[in-house]
Amino acid sequence: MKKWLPFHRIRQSFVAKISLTLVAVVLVLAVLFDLLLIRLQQKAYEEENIKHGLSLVRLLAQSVRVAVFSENNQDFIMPVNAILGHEDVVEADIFNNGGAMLFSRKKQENSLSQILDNPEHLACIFKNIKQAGEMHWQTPNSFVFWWPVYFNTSIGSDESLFFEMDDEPPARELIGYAVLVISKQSFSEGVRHILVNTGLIVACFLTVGIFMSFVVVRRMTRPLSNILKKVKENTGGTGMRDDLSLLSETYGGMIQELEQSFETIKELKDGLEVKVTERTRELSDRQTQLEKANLKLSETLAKLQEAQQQLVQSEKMAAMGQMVAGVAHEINNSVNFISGALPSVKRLLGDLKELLAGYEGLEQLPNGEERGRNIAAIHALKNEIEFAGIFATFEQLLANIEEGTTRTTRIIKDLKIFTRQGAEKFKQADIHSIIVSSIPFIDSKLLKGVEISKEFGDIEPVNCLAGRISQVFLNIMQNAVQAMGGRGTLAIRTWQENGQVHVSFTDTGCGIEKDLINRIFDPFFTTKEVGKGRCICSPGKTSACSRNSTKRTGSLSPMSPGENGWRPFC
Amino acid sequence: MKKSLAIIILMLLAGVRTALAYDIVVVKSGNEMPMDQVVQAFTDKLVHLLPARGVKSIEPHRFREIDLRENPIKSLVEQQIRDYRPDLILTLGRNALLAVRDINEIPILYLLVVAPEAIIENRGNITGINLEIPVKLQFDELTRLLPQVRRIGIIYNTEHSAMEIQQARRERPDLQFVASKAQSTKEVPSLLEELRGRVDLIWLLPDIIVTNPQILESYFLFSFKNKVPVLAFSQKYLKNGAAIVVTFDLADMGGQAATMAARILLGTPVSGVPPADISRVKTIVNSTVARKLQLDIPEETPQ
Repeated sequence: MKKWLPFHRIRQSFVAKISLTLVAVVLVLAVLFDLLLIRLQQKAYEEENIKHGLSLVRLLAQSVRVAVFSENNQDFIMPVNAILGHEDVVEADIFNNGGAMLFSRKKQENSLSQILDNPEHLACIFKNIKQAGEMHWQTPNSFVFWWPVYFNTSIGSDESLFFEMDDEPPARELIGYAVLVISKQSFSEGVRHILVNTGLIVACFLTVGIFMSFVVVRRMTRPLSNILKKVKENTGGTGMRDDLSLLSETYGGMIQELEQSFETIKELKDGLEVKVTERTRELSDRQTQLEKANLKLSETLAKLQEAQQQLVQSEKMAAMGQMVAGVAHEINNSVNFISGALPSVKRLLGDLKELLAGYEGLEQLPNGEERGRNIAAIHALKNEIEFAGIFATFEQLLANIEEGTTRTTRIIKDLKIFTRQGAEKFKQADIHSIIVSSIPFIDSKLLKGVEISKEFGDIEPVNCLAGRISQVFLNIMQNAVQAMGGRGTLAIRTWQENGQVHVSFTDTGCGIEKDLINRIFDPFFTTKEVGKGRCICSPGKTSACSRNSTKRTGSLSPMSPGENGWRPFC
Repeated sequence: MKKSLAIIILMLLAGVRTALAYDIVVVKSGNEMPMDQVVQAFTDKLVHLLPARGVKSIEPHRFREIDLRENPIKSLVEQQIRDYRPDLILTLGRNALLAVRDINEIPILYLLVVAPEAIIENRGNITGINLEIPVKLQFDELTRLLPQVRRIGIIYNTEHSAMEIQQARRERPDLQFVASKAQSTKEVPSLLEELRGRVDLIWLLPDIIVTNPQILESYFLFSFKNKVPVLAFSQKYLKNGAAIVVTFDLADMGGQAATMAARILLGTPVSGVPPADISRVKTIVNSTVARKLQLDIPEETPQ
């Protein structure tokens, strides 16, 4: 069995089959090509030899024409010897036109003896030459070539002896025949060389062709071999089946599996289409529901917005009420100063009138007793009315009236600022100057026990409404001082960071509850009793704060240092 | 006074000799002979000899040509010439002379004709220049070029060229002429073989039997094989292998003919102007052949 194993493997391997088929085809083609090439070359070589022989015999005929004409044997020798000088030329014969041999020379036994001895055959040859112009044939050992010998028969005129005439072309006459016998020895050697050379070329071609066939087949079938190898690995051995059967079976199985897969895919595809339809319908329902919900939401939103508007309006009204209450409170306080002082002023004015009337009566009395009594009555009146302190009281009352007037003026001024938005223009201002110039407006009484600590950093001028910033700073500082109850420390600190100027006011006061922190910027909000404190967002301040914080370059925010509650700004 | 002066002038003018313009017909044979060169030399010389200028001349000489290749019929040629009524007929070549020889009333001057006697017969209006190269001139040139040559080989035919042999022997007795008589062209190769080793030079004769194109090759084969130069009589043999050619000068021949024509036109009877031989020869050496034959020929070869 081992002896036949290679043949068995060849039968199994498709690569071996292809290679062997290709080699067989190449071999057959090479042999056919070789035979054809040999035949063509042999024919071409033979034709070349015939042409060569005809050239030689024509040359001989041309060379011996004078000798044939004069039938002078001496004149034959040189041209015939010259022709016989060719290696393959073995015989040269010259005949006259009557068939008689004029000259003959040969290197070997006369191969034409049979012809020359047969006058009828010779006459037939001459006849053919006359008709065809030449004649040649082959014997097993030689080529035989015949050529007619022509001679110019036109003698011409006497004038033609002197001049080149251009008359009729010269007539010619057949005066003999030349024959050459050329050996086939060189021809046969040439043919042998052709055979050998062609055979060698074809053998080389075959070798290279077979090698290239193996290489090409191996390379081209490598992917298929790899597939086959994997198939064998997957199938766990091929048994006695050949490669192509295995591939065919595997391919058939793959096709079946593919068909099954396609069926499955088709089923899945159909199911998927149903599912997609269902999902689409569900999505459509959902979308309808969503649209309805959206509509409801829109309606709800509209209601909410309306409610919000109402709330905002309510808030505004509430704020307005609070603001009006605060303003009324402030104005009432201010007016109380004035109204409280006015009765006293009236009373003091009455006293002063009475006193002045006493002095006017005194001026009209002559010096005497009555005058003395009147002076005493005036003195008593002075005592009664406490004339010594009347002017101080009067000044105090005027001061109260002035305070009330000042407060009222300030409220009116704040209201004006609140209502007069945009009157002041933005400009570059030094924050430090604004802070320092605001401090003197703090209530001097409260400021007596308060230490103001200033830690000014290196900051750039700020583009702002300087008056409103000053009012904000003043309110903050006023509230801080009030929150500390006239005793404590107000720390003012400035610095610049990330292109922003920061100003912090820190007091050591009571602070503010966490719940109220969001309201500190409401207009007129305060935790103090009416007339005692100033809200940060009094009408004027609110304007400054809100604009600076939201629309311009600044912001205002409260800060707490620890767990004890927020330190108030106001 | 003025009238008498005019009459005197007119009488003087009447006495002035007339300068006539001649009408000449040139008849050319139908072949490629070097005719134009001869005609040009003839007309140039004739105008020089007979200038058609003067008080009474009104036009130059008129030369009208008839080419037999275009008009080969003899009777038509004769009629055409008679219509022209020329003063002279100049023929070039044998055929041209044959075409006009029967015109008796007009002088005929022939050129380039070999052995014209047979054509002329006894006609009195025909004269010309024979196409024969004087033997003496040939051998004088040969001796000038190859003084060592003494033995001259000749193949001749009794009917055609026996006269040349006699003339040569008479003119140059100092030379040895080895002459072989050929009855036919076929004999020439064998006769040449007989001359091998006996001659220093082969003299080619203008003989149609022994120098025709059939056998010409054998002369030059003999010349090359035996290193014997060939002396030829026409320039055409240079390409075949002739070493020396002593031939006629066509321009000189045209001028010589013009001289004879002028005499006839001026009134000399044709009989008074007999046929003449050429007066001057031209010698040409084939230097290649001379070198191959190891001939010592001087560089300068005056004609």
